[in-house]
Amino acid sequence: MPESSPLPPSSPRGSRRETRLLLLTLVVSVAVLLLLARFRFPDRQPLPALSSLSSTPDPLARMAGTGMFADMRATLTDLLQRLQLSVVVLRLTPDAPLPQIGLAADTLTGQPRLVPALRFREDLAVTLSSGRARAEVLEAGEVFDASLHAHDPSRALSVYRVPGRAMPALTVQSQANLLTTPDYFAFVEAGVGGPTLRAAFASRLDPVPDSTWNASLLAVGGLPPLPAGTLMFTLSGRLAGLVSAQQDVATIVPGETLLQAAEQLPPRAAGSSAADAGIDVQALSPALAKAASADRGVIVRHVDPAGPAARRVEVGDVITAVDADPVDAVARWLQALARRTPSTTVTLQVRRGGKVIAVPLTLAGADRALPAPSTSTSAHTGTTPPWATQPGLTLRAVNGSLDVVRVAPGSPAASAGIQPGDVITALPGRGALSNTRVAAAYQGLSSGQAMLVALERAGQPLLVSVEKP
Amino acid sequence: MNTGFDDSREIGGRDPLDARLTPPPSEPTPSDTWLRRVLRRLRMSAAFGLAPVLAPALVFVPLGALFGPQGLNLLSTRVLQHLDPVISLSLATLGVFVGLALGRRPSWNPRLFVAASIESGVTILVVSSALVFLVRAWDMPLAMPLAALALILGVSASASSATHDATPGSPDALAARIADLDDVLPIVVGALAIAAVGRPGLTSILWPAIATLGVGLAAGVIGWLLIERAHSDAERGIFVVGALALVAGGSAYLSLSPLLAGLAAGMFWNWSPGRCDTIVREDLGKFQHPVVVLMLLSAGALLEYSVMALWLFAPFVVFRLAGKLTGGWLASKLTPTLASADLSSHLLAPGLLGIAFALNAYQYLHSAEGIAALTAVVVGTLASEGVAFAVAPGEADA
Repeated sequence: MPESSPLPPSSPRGSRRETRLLLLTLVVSVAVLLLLARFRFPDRQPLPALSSLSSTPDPLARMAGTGMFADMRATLTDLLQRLQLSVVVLRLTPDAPLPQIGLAADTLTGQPRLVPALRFREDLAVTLSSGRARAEVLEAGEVFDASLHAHDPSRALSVYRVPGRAMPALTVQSQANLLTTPDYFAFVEAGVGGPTLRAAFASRLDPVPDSTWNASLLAVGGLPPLPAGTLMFTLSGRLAGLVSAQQDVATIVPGETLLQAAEQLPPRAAGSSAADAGIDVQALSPALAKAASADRGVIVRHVDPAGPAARRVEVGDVITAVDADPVDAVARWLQALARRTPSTTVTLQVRRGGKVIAVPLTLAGADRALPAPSTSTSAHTGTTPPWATQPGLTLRAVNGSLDVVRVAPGSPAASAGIQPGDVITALPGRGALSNTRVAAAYQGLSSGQAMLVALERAGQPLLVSVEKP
Repeated sequence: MNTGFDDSREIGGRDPLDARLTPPPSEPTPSDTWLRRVLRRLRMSAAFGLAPVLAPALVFVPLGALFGPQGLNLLSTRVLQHLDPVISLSLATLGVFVGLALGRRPSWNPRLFVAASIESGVTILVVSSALVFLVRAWDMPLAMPLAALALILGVSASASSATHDATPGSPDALAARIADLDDVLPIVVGALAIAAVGRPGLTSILWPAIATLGVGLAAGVIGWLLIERAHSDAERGIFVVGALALVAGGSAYLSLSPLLAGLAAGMFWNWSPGRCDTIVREDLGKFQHPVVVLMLLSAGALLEYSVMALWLFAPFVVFRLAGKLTGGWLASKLTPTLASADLSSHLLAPGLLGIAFALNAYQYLHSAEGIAALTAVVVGTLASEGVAFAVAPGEADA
């Protein structure tokens, strides 16, 4: 409208009416404001902590107590009641640690631990443990004995025989369904009074191939820290899996894989221990593989002289298979033994000196003590020639073995990881052990070739490869 | 005297189509009965075929609620999804009308525009501030920023639609002109509020708004080039509809505000050389009613009566009244030409644009808060029509 437009005559009456209306409205508005501010929005649970939050509280904290969370609480409460019969709380008191297996919770602290176990049959429950712990079932304030029914040391998977109870049918969420969308899951841990449950959102589930389980595990992102052995269920009560380890992300053994492995574990004979070959092995590193002329398998680092493999298997042998089961990792070796019972005869495929031989063995029980370290009684000081003729070791002969007195810095021996205090127990494939034999074996190597040296360090056997530069 | 705006009212006022249908209603006739006067004050006369001035929200929103998923389910959720493009089209239409209503020289009056912006700005401020205070005091759980929700409600509250009067310079005419001009600021603020949800930083908020203006201006330029060179009325009509579809579709596809894009296109057509503004205004008048009716039916069908909506509704109505009265009072004091217009009372009727703002926000906020805000605004708009009836300007003052 142009500014020159004629305007209506001034109307003081209208202006006064407008002002009165405005004042009245403002007064009423302020009163309404103060009145309404005294109320609290319904559907909010009384959460005293919220009152101390800042003006922009955390969104999850703001959501807490709403109907959504009330529904979640009711769902979890109902789920916990249903899972009471499917989950057993085990108290594991370790008898002795098992150093080469690091997954089982009961071997990590040495203290009694409570772990949840999944009752997959009326009297059998599966969990992760070293198998060397005394197990008890905590149930309704009472304590019952549980016995180890089957055990797989490579996967730290243990099946315990527990007091029989009627249990609901166990339903399993398929791995394909787990991978479809991120979702909330219920994680069951062990408490003194019974299983405890908490919900957490799994933002990512990615399949990760795992040779130990011979299946794909699930790497689950976005979870809070969870102890190994924690059971994972969907909010509808289906078994989703079991937490096997958690570093940056949790690794979950899917329910199908877990139950299949538990069902396939052979039961141990009453009073017997697991099968044992009297052999300690270690992984085939590139250096060891080069020295042993093998591309796969596990390398023998110690042979129990009183065990079934004595005089049949030598330190430095590379085991490539047990019967028809290929062995390409230490876990596979342990797994192969776990599937067999004592007194079983097996055939090892062994690569020795470039040839493959078959070695029949009758397995014994696993109660085998590791050899104690030798003690020195006499001394003989060796020399440290240049690296072309000597590996850089100062050795002392002690009752058929050689104590490492000194390792020259920068020498081939130092590069191989030999340390002062190690005890050389054998030179695989090179006959009797002596100081001069070590020097002769080394001198016999061409540049770039390596020889195997069997050691004992802190009571544990070890195999290293010393390469001539 | 021709004020230049008597044919540029947005939806809810007198438009060329209305003008062809019936004479202006303000001239008393011998048959001006009490019923006719009541209906006119309710701005529902046209709904009964008595006059062209109407408050279509009072008729079509309840019908939409009746036909909606919570009623007879004729407008089912699936149907409403198919109507979503129509909502974008109607929002763009309203934006174009607001842009065209700004007027062109010599009718463009910066002082009136400033006064209108002050009036709407104060309303936005009052409603938003009150809601921020109350929602915090209530400890109401929200999954979206409180400021954005408060701004959406404040912007929806700022819309007004004064009854048109044929008498140039009368309070009704001045109020109608202010009601035309006070929509520009809320459209811009509303677009920014929607852009602010889920976007951190000023740049990421401003960029969508700038892109929206770009889409509107580009569609405006394309439409202008086509419309000015059309050889027949039919061809011209096709180009107008096509340009409008381009504004609505482009902005909706990019998740931008069709209202702001339409405003930009309307302003361009308004100030571009030639007769583009007149042509667009005439052609849009031919199909504005069906589009707007569909929008109102959709708004009614989308209503969901929740506790949150109920709690937002009451302060929306109360503080909209306070904001409108305060804003109108301030605008009339700051602008001498409005000193005696009793502006506040004339601007209490909310019209359609508030519902359009809420629908625009709902299109991008399909959350409990978005539905609650839409329901509060739509029901609050109907209630505000009742308030406008109760606080209508006195006959002596008008």
